[in-house]
Amino acid sequence: MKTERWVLLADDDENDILFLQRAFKLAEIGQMLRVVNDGQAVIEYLLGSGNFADRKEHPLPDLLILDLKMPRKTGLEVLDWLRHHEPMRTLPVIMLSSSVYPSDIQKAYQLGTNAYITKPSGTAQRNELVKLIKGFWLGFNEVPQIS
Amino acid sequence: MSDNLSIDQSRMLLAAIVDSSDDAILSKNLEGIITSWNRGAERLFGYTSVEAIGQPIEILIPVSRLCEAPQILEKVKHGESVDHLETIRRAKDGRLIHVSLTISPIRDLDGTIIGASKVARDITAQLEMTDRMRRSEARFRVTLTSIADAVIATDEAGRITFMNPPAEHMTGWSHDSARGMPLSQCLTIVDELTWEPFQKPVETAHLNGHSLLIDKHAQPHALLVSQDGTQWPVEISVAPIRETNGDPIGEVVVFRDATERRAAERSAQRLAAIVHGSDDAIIGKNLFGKITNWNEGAERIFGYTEKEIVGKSILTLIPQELQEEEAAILGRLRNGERIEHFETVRIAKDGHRVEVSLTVSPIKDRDGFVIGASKIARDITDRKRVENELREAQAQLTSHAVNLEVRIAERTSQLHKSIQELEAFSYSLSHDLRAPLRAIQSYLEIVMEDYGGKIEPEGSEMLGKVIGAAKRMDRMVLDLLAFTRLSNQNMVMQRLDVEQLIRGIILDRSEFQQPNAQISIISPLQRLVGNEASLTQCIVNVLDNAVKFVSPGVQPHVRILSERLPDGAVRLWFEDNGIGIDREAQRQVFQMFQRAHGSSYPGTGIGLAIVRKAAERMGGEVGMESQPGKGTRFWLKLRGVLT
Repeated sequence: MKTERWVLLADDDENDILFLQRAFKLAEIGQMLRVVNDGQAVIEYLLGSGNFADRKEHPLPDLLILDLKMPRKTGLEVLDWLRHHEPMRTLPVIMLSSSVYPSDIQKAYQLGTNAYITKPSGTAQRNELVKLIKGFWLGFNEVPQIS
Repeated sequence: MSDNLSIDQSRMLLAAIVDSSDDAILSKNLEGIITSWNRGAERLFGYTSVEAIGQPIEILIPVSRLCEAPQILEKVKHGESVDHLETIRRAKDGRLIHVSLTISPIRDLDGTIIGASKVARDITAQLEMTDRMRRSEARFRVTLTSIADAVIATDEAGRITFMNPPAEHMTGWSHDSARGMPLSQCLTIVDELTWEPFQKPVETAHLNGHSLLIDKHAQPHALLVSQDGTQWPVEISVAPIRETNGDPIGEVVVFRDATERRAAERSAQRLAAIVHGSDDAIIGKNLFGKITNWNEGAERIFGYTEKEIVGKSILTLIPQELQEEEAAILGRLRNGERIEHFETVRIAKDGHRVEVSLTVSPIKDRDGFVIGASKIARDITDRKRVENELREAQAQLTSHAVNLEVRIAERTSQLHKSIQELEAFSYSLSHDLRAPLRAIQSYLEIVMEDYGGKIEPEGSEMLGKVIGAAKRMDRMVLDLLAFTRLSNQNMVMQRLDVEQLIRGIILDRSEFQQPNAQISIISPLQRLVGNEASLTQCIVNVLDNAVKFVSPGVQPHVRILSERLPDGAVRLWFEDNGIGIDREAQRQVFQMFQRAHGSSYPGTGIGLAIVRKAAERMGGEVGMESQPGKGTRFWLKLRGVLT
């Protein structure tokens, strides 16, 4: 497992952020997590513009976890932008949403998400999910280099 | 004395009488020499007395009658007279004269026959008359015998004097046997309707000497019954026979067989009655367009009486703008064509327009020449009005239907929009509800994890219940989302191996496995047509219910079997050993948020509503049979796969 791995989480729900941060810590990958609170911020982070110019502080992520419903830009809009912008096109994306609406799932995959996961309700499930993300996406899975 | 004088005077008087007589009076002696000659003789024979006296009587006798003279002379010599001898004599100019002779002997004072007196009367005219009469009677007889009408003549007393062959044929009496018989015995006439004797016209004629002919229309039902019973409808007329001076001397009865005529008349009358009484206007016109006949129907429809319109032009009835129609109609009629159901417009007397259907046929004479036309006009104003109303109603209906379709389309589209909005709303509501729920549940769990040791056991227990409530609410929201999704989802139907599907469901969920439950499949299950996701939803919910509602401590047993119904559908049965549902509750369990067993069993009250909705979306049905305490047999009916 590569030592320097970064995960960018985009969510506007403070609670969900807190729960996920907690689960990341529990899985001992808390330090890998960077968080933004809206869709526009994701794009700015990835472009390294504005507040996100410092790549030391805001390193390019190896995995993007996107909430579906966010202010300024929705998760799907961000995904759409991403898939049309080199070199971020190849960035692995997990959609993490409380929506189980089929058209949302359909749309997300059409726009090129790598996974679609409904937000777990309880801590036990959440912890399990984060453990799996760590094992698979940050472990076994090889990711393309993004410069 | 006066007596002596009077002898001379009386001689003179006698001579004057003889001289002035119209008859020829002459005398001759026994030698046949004319001895006296009066003025009448001069007139009759043309000889003057001077010429005639002294001449032999033979100058007056034609050669063919010369033999008469000696015979007459012989009789005279014997003192006999010859009375009214009709013979022929010759005048001075040779003309033959029919005369009636009366010859008497002339005696002298001693009674000795000395000559003869001869009175001759001219009977030429009389004879000619008699001859004419004889000839005329013969002619009449021939005529009466040869004519087709039956003729019976009677004398003054009503006795038959003559009967011609048609009369013999019809009465059954021969001329000879009927002669002298009373008329009433040989001629029996009855009223054909009543069979009452019908002698009246004959009697009437007899009494009313001056009535010439009995009107044959006065006895339209006269029926002659012959001697052998044959019945003849007859027309009969009676006329008196008069002397030249006008005195009746008998009567003549003329009758004829009226069978055909009466039948024709009746038929004509019947036809006339039919025409007359027809509701349709029936109008006759000639080829110049003049109206010749007009029935009551025509009067009703057009308002003109027969009197007013007959003789007028048919154009009276035709509106100005259609007048050329008539020329076309007449043209076709002249060619013998018939015009049927020609719909047009005519004008009534009061000016209102009448919609009519015309049928015009040529009227032909016996030789086939077209002499006019019959026109049947049916008033179709009402029909037209009804047709128009119907057409309008149809148009309205069509327009209503179109409007309705448009409105339905609008409403449907509105409804679709509303449904979409509603679904979007319920989706986003459910979605948004989940976030705070997640927060509650998660925070509580964190509290329990991080601070569990510092909380009193009672508090921990209560926190556990809050977590349970939050979890239940989350499931409700998820179920609601599932339900919402069903109405929105595209139902892709496919053939499904339901047995494999159920085995997969059981494998995925520990609550359907031993020792939590015992679910057995009575293999094989019929394959059916459905949507995989929806059917899975149905089965999961049904099985959830089956294993959930059992008495405490009882292991749920579920048997799944299938049957093929006569209509080709497949029914899946899920039989459980659960607590059962009473009849009242059975009707409600498929409704949203209906929970048959209240809060004693966990659940959202949405499960069976989802099952019903999913089944209906797949074109199927759901139902159950259950009794409290005896388990539930739940069924799901779907389209089967044709084998």
